[in-house]
This record gives sequence, C-alpha cells and structure tokens, in this order.
Amino acid sequence: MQQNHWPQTVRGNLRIELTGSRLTMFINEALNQSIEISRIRWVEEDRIRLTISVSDFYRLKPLLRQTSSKVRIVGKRGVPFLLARLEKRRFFVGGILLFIILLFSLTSLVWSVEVEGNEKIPEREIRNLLKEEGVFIGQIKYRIPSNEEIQNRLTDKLSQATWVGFRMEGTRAVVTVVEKKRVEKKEEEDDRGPVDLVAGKDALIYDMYVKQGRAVVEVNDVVKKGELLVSGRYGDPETPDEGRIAGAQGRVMGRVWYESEVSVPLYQKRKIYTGNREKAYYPYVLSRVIRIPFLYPESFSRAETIQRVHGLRIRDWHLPLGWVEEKRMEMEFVKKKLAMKEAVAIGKERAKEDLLSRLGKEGRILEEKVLHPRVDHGKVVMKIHFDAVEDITRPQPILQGE
Amino acid sequence: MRNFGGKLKRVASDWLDIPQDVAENMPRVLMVGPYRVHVENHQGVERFTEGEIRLKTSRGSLNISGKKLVIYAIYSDEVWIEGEISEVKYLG
Repeated sequence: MQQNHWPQTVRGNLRIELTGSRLTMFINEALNQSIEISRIRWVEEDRIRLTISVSDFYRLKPLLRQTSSKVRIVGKRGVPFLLARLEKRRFFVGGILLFIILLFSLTSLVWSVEVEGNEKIPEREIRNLLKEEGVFIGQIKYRIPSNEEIQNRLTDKLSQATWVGFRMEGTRAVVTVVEKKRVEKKEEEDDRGPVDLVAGKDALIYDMYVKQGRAVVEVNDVVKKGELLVSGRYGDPETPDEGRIAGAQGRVMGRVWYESEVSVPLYQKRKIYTGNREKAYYPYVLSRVIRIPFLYPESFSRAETIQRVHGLRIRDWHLPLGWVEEKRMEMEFVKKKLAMKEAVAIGKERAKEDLLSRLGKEGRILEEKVLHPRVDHGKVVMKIHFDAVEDITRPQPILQGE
Repeated sequence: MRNFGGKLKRVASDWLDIPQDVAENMPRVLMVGPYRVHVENHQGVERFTEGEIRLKTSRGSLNISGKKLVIYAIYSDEVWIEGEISEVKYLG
C-alpha cells in the first residue's frame, strides 16, 4: 500500500475535515462507491480528517448530502497544486530557471587559458596554436577535442617542446609545456676538438677553400667516400702521425653525379573558376554558426568558399555574436593533356627542386640531362642525370693516441 | 438461502481441506507489532473514535482499541489501521 502512495501525490490529494453525526456511514458509503480514502484521523466527536484524491473529492457531494455532513478543506498537496502555486509566482520560477541555465552555460565556457612551464617558447605562440586547436577564451568546453588529441597535436607542432600536457580544470584550460634542453650549437663545435675533413661521398674535387689545416687532395682529384681531404695536423706529410694538431677548417666543393627517376602524369587536373559567385550570410553565436537552410541555398555543385567573420562589438568589447559572410565561387575541374615536351619540363623542374633541397646551401646544379623519357600507363617516366656541385666535407675527430 | 450457502461452503472447505478464510468471507487479521493492524474481508466501519475502531465482519464485530488510532488506508475489503494498539477482540 506504500507503493500506492506516490501516484496520489502526483495526481494531487486533499486533506479534508468532515463534521457530522453519521461519519461511519459516510466511510462505508464511500467504500461502496470505491472512493479511496486514507489516513482517517479522529479529531473529536463527530469530526474526522481524511485524505482524498482531487478527482474523488467531486464525487463526495451526494454522499455528503446523504449523510448530512459538512466538509472543509484543510490542506492541499501534490503536483497539480504545486504547479498552480508556481504559476502564481511565475517570475520567481523564471528566475530559478534562468539561474540554472546561466550557471550551466557559463560553466561550460572556457574562461581562462593558462600556460605553464615555458621559458623560451613565447606564450603567444602557444596560445595561437591552442586557438587553432579550438581552445580559447569563450569557447564552449564540449567543442574542445579530447585532451590526448590536443596533447599529441601540440607536441607535434611545438618542436621545441618534449612534451605538452593539456587539461581542463573546470573553466580553466591549463597547458603544461616541458621544453627540450637545447645544447647550443657553438658549444657542440667547441666540444668536438680538432678534426680532419674527410669526403662525405664519392666526388671529383671542383674547388677548395682551406681556412686551417693542410690540404691533402687537389682540384680535379677523384675522391672516395671517407677519404681524407684536409688534415688537421701541420708538419711533414712524410710522417703524418707527428706534427702539431691544429684542426682543419674549410670547404671542399666536389662534383657529384645524381640520377633520379621522375614520373609525370600526362593528364593534369586543373581547377578553373567559372566566374559565377554568390554570397551568403549566417549569424553565429559563441563560435557556432547557425545555418539557415532555406535562406541562402547553395546553387553550385562544386564551389570554393571563403568565409569572413564579422563580429559585433561595443567599442573595444567583442560580443560573442556576429555574422559570417560566405563567398562561394563556382569552379570546375578541367582535364588537360600535356604535350610530351611539357611533361618532361615539369618532371625536370620537380627533380631539380628536390635535389636542390638536398644539396644544401652551397650546392648548385651544373648540368642536367634527361635520359630516355617514355610513356607508361598515362605517365611520362624519365631518368634525369644531374651534375651537381656541393660541399662534400664531413668532420672527423682526430684520434690522439691513447 | 444465504445461510445454506455458508454451510455448504464450510462443508466444502472441510472436505477439500481448504483454509476457511479463503473459502468463506472470514476476516483475516494481521498485526505488526503493537502499531499496525491489517484486516482483510471486513464489511465496513461500525464505529470510529480515537481510542476504538469497530469493524463489521462476517463473524460479528471486530473491536480494535488503543490510542491515537488512524485508519491509514481503507478499501472495500481491506483496512489498515495504525496507532498504539492494545487490543483486538471479537465481540460475538
């Protein structure tokens, strides 16, 4: 019977006081008409209090007349009455709801971003990176990707950091940076002690510039990888193990031959704007763009969009809302067949760029030759021969006895 | 006729070994400690005051006396009384 209790509270019940001389008859009659009454309490002679549901209360009237008793409502309980009372205090309820909504919405924003542990990496750089990841003041917490994801990406992007930790502490985003202990380059060189210069690869000596040390080879000599070029010892070449150790410094340019294979597709896909364009405007609130689907329909099947954000602000204070102007430019992909000659030129250019990036600062290409280009499965495959000049020296520490 | 029906039921329940409260409309009283009485198969309230509740049953009146008695819930065949109960008694 205890279980029967709560639906009654939901439906609402009344506490009533009955006065009359035939109250037991009233109870029996009520039972006969299957009116549910409960918690009947005797107050005094000919007066009782009982609890009844609201719907049954209206069925009481004929019974009351029959038993000539009088009814008085003592109390009202249950959800319907509560609602009625709340409706009277509409603004109070509204205030509570507003408070809860505000509390939730305000605590779901990022209110501050803190960076700790950085000494050399400027804080602004980290903040900018965080902004790219979507962590900034005013961002909705739930739109921030998972901590691990941010950590991984920040660690990738911040090459000066060994590890980057990210966590949310309530409305605070905390980034912990552990910086790499960098060894100064200069220090490294000083540490190394005197060196010989040896050849880093097979080459033909093209030019030499020796600042310190004794040159062992001459221009137009062919050297093998690992061969001594400039000795770090001064003195008689006949007794190479003696003499003062000074260490070698200098540059030896060598001619090195490279061969690279390049393939260039004959059909190139190109993007072309057709010149048709349209504009669309969307409002945004708190970095969330509200797309109104019917307002600015997209009429192009392929388009490139450029978005510009216009934030509203009052003087210097940025409001978290505004609108986004979206420019859509229709485009098409055009397939273009390349002539053999063009393809070869493109291939050559690519290989050259690739090689130059590998040659280093001093390197340059003397000559290039395209060897037997051929068409294979819609691609032009070719071998290119390069004759390049680069710094071939590699320092090698001088072993000084034991 | 009614009496004959009652007799028949009693005979049947004796013969078939069915408890009498199931077969007939016998009142069934369950008392939990001194504070709660549960009566099934009652036939209405005869008298109700703070110190005494009298229920109609097929075996005559059932008198429950005590202090601060409250009919906690009442249905057409079941009643649940709470209070400081001191006595439950049939009045013939």
